[in-house]
Amino acid sequence: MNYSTKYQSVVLMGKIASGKGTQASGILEHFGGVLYSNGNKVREVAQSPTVFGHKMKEMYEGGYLMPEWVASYWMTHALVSQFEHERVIFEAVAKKPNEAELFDEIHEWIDRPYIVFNLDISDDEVRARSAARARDVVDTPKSVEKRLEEYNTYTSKSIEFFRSRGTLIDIDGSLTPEEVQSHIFNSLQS
Amino acid sequence: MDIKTVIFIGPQGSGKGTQIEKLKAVLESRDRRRVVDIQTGRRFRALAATQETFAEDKIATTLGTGVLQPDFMVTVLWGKAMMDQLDDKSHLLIDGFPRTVGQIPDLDNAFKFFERGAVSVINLETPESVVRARMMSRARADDTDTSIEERLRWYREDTLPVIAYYRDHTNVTVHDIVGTATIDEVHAQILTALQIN
Repeated sequence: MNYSTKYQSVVLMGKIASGKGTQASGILEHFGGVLYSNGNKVREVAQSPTVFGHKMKEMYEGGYLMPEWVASYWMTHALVSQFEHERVIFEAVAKKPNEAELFDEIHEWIDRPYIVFNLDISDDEVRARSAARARDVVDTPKSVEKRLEEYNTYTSKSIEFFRSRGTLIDIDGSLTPEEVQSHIFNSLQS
Repeated sequence: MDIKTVIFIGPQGSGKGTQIEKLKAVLESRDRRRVVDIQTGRRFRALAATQETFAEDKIATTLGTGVLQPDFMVTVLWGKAMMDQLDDKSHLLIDGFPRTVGQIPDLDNAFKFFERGAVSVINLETPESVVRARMMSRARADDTDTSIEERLRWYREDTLPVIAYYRDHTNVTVHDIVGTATIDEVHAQILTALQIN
């Protein structure tokens, strides 16, 4: 940890393979904080002996979508209580515009400064990068197209919302990871 | 007895707390199922008493003023209670939410998650004049003229639309109860509405 920033919440948004994970690691390393992950939370509660835990386990193993009330609860709880005094880096949050509005409303209510980085790359760049890395099933062409469509339908509206709130910084995601990081670090320290 | 999911809606002073206690006692004496009772008002007062976080402090300073707390804080309170206590076999009694139409989707989503089935809304219809008179006589610390009027205003503007919404909602039945009757008469109306004999 060698830099500081006034932002208590940092959100990375962008299409798949836009470099969100890489940038999140860089921010955590240099600014400190915790990475917010619904996936980890699901795996954790799936172990708990409550009815809720059992149902979440079924859901997770069946590959179903995370229930929206659980997503709202976890995000709110993280911000108002669990990580009140820690920096939180969000890598996959506010994919839908109503979640973006909730995210903004909570921050305003608890007076917590946040910033959103939009790592902007073209659909063709997504296709090329996914084919090159072929990391797992989400990198297959069919899955890539489905997620691009989700992004263009919903997430682009969340990005518009954050832009209208003045909390969004657009970054050219086609630059090298080092260049992208340098832009992000400059904004965090400004 | 079939599994009950009951939402109590009524203005302040309509007797929700008293009626929930009475219904709970009946359910517990006539059925072996557990009764889960979630009241967000009581949970807000507990949070305000803690004051360990900024959010708890903020709730403490606004709670007595009659200001409506944000939807997301309401979700956090019932969300936690459901995660800890709820299943698809217990009776569920709810008071304090949803208070706005905006709070309905997450609650619907949670009902589906816990496979709750049919939902009953107990609408304790109580005229504002009766509410004012009852409030003035109970004299709780947060019952000032301004806070009473503020709570009546948001009940009118934000909560009445919730009842209207539920009237057109499949799987939900709204039961209109005359809230001005005596405590025992209101209780009897509720048992009839819920078909508990």
